[in-house]
Amino acid sequence: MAKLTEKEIDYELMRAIQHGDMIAFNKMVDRYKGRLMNVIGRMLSSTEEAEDVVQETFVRVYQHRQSFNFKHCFSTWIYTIALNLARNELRKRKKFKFYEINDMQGNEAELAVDAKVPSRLPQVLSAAIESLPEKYRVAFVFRDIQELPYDEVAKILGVPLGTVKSRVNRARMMLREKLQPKLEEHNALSKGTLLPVGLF
Amino acid sequence: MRCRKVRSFLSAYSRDELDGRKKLRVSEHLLTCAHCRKEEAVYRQLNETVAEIPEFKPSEDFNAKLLGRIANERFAETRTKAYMPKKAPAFSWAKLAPVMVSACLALFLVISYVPFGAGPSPEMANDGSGLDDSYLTVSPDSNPNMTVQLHKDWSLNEQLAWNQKLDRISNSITPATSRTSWNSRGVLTSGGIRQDATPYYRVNPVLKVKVTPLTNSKREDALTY
Repeated sequence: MAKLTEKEIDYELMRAIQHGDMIAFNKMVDRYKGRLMNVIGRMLSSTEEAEDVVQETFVRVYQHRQSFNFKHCFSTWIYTIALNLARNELRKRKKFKFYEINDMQGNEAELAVDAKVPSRLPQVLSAAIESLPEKYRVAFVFRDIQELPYDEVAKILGVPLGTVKSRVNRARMMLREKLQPKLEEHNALSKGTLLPVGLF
Repeated sequence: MRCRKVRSFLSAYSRDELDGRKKLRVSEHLLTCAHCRKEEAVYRQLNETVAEIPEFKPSEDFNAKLLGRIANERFAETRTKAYMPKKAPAFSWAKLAPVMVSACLALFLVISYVPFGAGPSPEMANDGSGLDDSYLTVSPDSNPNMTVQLHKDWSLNEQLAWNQKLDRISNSITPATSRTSWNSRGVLTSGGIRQDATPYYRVNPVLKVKVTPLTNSKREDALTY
């Protein structure tokens, strides 16, 4: 028996969910909760809020399970729902801007990037991604972190393929500009050519 | 290809997303340009670092919380369906059906128990349609095949006398073996079927009933018979 593709597995599970199979729904949650958390978490920069949005996404999937069109990819559908909910959340944030003590001391992402003391590179990159403008950040997360194909990203975002490629390229260039000094410093440290004062 | 153009392709080149011709030209440029080579190395390191960045992970009780929400959702759906107030329709067969059944039943009872015309009319009794129940059919013991009709509203004695009279007339024409007579108990008896070959005339004892309108008391008796 031929091995089912990811898309076919999604369809099988979705058919079972449409017939009221809660075990299939649980399996679907297990398949997508990590991916959605990763995307939405990077969009909202908050684990708690991301979890709320992802939960709401699965509730919406359950509510509208009968209206799912099998002509389309399930992953595209669920990512689109999650993205729209995350955008709503961001819009709410703009309306009601919350200030925290940390914010008064400066943007954490900028602090991490501009810090004189070298941090671990993944954390620095994570902070740099969060500091990107939303449209570049979303395209970058879908393409380079989730590793979705360009055409699927275009479908999820509802923009032309060329626009997605352009946004991803632009996001990579911005990240390189932000991280190049850090990377050079990191490389110098790893080679032992540069020892910043106060590190040891 | 110039550096500026090459740099716009470097991120895609570092991820091996370029097609053959562009890829070749960028590769050729990188062999000769140290600055672009350095930039390409940064992109490669960036790609490696992307794979290492910490992930946002859902909490341990994510599924439990979600399934709880879904359960509430399902309960709410059921409750909404069960208690959703519906607009009362202006006309409903379901409501009208019991009323119609009751009306039909009442009409049937009225038709059944009200004596329209109180029994058969005199004309009906005389029309020979067989629907008239004013007559009794009696058979003599000796000849069950023979039947005589008696009017139940007449006195039995009068009818017996009348039949005996007819019998006498009949006996005066036909032989005694075949005559029909009434015995002492008032039961019609027959002499049986004639056995000899003597020709005879037979007058069947058919009663010519003179029907008279029934009085009220007799009508009641007829109904309760």
